[in-house]
Amino acid sequence: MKVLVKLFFSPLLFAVLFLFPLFTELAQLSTDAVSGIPVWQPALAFAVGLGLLAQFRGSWIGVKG
Amino acid sequence: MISAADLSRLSDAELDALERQIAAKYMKIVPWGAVAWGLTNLMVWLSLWPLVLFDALPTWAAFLIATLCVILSYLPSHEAQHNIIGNRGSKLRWLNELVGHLSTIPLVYPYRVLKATHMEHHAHTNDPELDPDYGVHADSRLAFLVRSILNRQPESGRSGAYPAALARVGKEALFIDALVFQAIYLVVLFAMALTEHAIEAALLWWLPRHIALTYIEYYLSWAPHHPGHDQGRYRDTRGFRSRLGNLFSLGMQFHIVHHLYPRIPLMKTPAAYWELKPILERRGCDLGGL
Repeated sequence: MKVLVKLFFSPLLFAVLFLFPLFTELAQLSTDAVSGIPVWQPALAFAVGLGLLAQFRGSWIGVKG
Repeated sequence: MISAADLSRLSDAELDALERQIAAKYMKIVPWGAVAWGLTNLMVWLSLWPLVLFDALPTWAAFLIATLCVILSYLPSHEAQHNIIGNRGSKLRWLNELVGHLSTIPLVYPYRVLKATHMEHHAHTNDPELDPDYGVHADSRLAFLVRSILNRQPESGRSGAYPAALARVGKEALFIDALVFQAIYLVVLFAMALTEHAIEAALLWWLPRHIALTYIEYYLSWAPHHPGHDQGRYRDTRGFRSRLGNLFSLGMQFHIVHHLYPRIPLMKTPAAYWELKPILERRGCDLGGL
């Protein structure tokens, strides 16, 4: 149970379930694809990258308070 | 108005009595404005969601209104935290608790957690170890902004300040309230995102909340307690003159009155301040040119 609660509140889950769709929607405001690559792919990479940074460094910007 | 010359003739005991007598005039007043403000503010913020989802209001306009709503969501609850709307055992106690619980929903902070930690802030203002709001102190406005951003990182030292304060006062169970609030917030954001409304969720709640937290921390915690070095009844809070005026600084120019007499409603603190000012000057308070 504790593991599930930790997972639910984890930065990585927030990145995948909120930031990824947000970045995709924002990118789609201007285009659906760049050089044939659907925008959801770089959006996913960016969101997961941020999520991993927050998850393992404890900060979304790489610097802790 | 009492002159400084008159005050100089008073003994400390007489000065205390006069100060309490003046403050008492502004207490035991039901702040109906704060009640209406808290409940209306929540309804306005809630109404933004269907208005945006059904394209009745542009998202950018809703973002501006939402940001204002979230900024304004804290203070009505603050009145309730101090039992100003209705004290224990009074007829209006239910209203006090209703406003307290409902008004901070947009801020995603539960009333009982805010109340318990805020009482610790009052009891230990500017104490580096015991004041749960001490983590916002910084040397300058820019340093505050940086600190506010750093404090919000998942593993910042500040993120443990409220749980630690709850544990100290034996109210760890209230942490469940915070988890429930945070869980509901995340479920809404995730659900909106999964139904292709991530931008709407970001602009109605996520981003306004972050802006509001910094704005509220600046005016309620940083500015009135800056530089945060002194402790004691007349030293831990200051008056200050805001370039944005009293309204946009959330009435916090007069926060010193609130720390001296927490049962004075927010909207009465300016009047109380002006009447108490000569006494505060004699006490050596930092009034910041106000």
